[in-house]
Amino acid sequence: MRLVVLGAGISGHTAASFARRWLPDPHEVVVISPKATYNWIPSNIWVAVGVLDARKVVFELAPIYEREGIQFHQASAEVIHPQGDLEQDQPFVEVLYTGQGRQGQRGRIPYDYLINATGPRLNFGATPGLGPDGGHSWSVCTETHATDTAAALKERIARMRKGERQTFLVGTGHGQCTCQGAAFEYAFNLEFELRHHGVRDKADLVWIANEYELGDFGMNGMHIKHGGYITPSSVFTASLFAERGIRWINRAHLRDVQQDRVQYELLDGTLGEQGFDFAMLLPPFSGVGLRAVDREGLDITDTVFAGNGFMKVDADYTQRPFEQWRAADWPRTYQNPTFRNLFAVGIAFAPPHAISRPRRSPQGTPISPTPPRTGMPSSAIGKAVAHSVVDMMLGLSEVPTHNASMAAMGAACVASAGANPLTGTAASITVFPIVPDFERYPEYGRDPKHTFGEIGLAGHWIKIALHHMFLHQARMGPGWHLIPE
Amino acid sequence: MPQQAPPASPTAPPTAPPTAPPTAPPTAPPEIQTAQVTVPTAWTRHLRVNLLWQLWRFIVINLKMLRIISMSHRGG
Repeated sequence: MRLVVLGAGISGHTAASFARRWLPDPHEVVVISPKATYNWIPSNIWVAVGVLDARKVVFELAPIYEREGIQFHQASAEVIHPQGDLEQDQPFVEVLYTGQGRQGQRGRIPYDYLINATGPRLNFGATPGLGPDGGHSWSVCTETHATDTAAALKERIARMRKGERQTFLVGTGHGQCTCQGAAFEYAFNLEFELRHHGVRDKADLVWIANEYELGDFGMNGMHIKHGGYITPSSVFTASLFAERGIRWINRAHLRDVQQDRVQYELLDGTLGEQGFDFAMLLPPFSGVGLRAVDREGLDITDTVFAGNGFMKVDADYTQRPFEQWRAADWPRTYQNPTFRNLFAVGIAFAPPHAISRPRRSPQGTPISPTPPRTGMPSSAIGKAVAHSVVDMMLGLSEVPTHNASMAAMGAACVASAGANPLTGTAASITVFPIVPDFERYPEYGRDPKHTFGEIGLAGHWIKIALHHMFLHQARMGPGWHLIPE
Repeated sequence: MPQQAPPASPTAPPTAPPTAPPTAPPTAPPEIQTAQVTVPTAWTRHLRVNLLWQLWRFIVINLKMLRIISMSHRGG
């Protein structure tokens, strides 16, 4: 039998690696990814402030897959045919090759089981002028973006050395962004580097984001245990911003990014403007635009995918008000309800709803974070789904055997706040569970015993260790499978 | 005889002049925002980069994270 994995990001690569390890030889594992390289995205932050070369966060996938017996197609998946077509009964994926000497060619790759791990489309187009490609802001989303951002920052630092004042704007570029954590890391690393270069006094740092309060992180915030207190993350995070002299603008949707300013709308309906010399603003995410068609060629994209382009899985998608959201709404097996051999992991699965309370401005603009599905949960989900699929392929079960609900899973997150082995710091945060469960934990929705946060040099050491450990794991070096997700 | 203005139609609501959304006040300067939050003392900032203390915290945080990972692997 053949397992096809769409995407070679953290979740897809984890799923493919473990599936290959657990499946005996006659079974095939195939990875389809439009990029030739793997990118350890969390370390892009350090690339984007100029302390790490982009070559340290990427590696070529083809040699590793060849060594491990995983077939690799450098192509973008375009259409899923879950029932095959009139010519062939076996399901297949239509792809457009982007490399391996076959650029522009189309192909059909049959599958018995499919794991969709395409990740997101970086939807810079959602806000006019957003993004580095034709827009006016920088990004850390890919290693190329991060390298360009570092070059732009270097130029701004040179100007400050000559005495010019510069305004740096960091945050989210749309009212429905996620990944506030990455923007937080960039803001703090930027501030640290400006101090390191001796130009902090020439810089005004401004944070702008769609969070209702600082420290929401798309998780409706959290209550963390530290120093004898249970503290809301808004208080913990605001303290870090204040300590560094970073101004903040919360509850903001960016309407337009111009060459030297952004126009924004706040949740209370007021409009504002913020000037900048340098802006790093993250885009909102959407599905990558995969389509699905049935055996007769009729479009069934709406059956397989949610309206935002992410794949439907075993979540409860019934629309309910925030007060009625339950932990049980969240998927456990990540199996598509219509086609039982289809799964979606990482950012590619459609969440049942947000985690943070949804809010709209009086003009009707949604201004609230969408739920994060990156980092530790995405690799844990990838591994659990690989386990289920392997069991099904081996005939051990007809239904998924492993669960990985974000409402029953914790996360350990280390947010870098400055990269130096002696003077750097990082915020180490653990939450359990990721999605609040108010039935189990009525007071805070999470277990206060295991929801913890502190900032210090130890966090930076852990961040360095994670960088090397997870790149070793991704390269499938000796003992890679022993490293916990 | 002065001409009277025609009475307004009873069905038509009074027309409000188009209004632009209000403008957000400029962001509070750092010192104002700082006044609303807790900030660390010099001793706390020192501990954050004190090698001995951070070595201890490195062990503690790693244990906490391993605990979360083991709890998460129980599924759900």
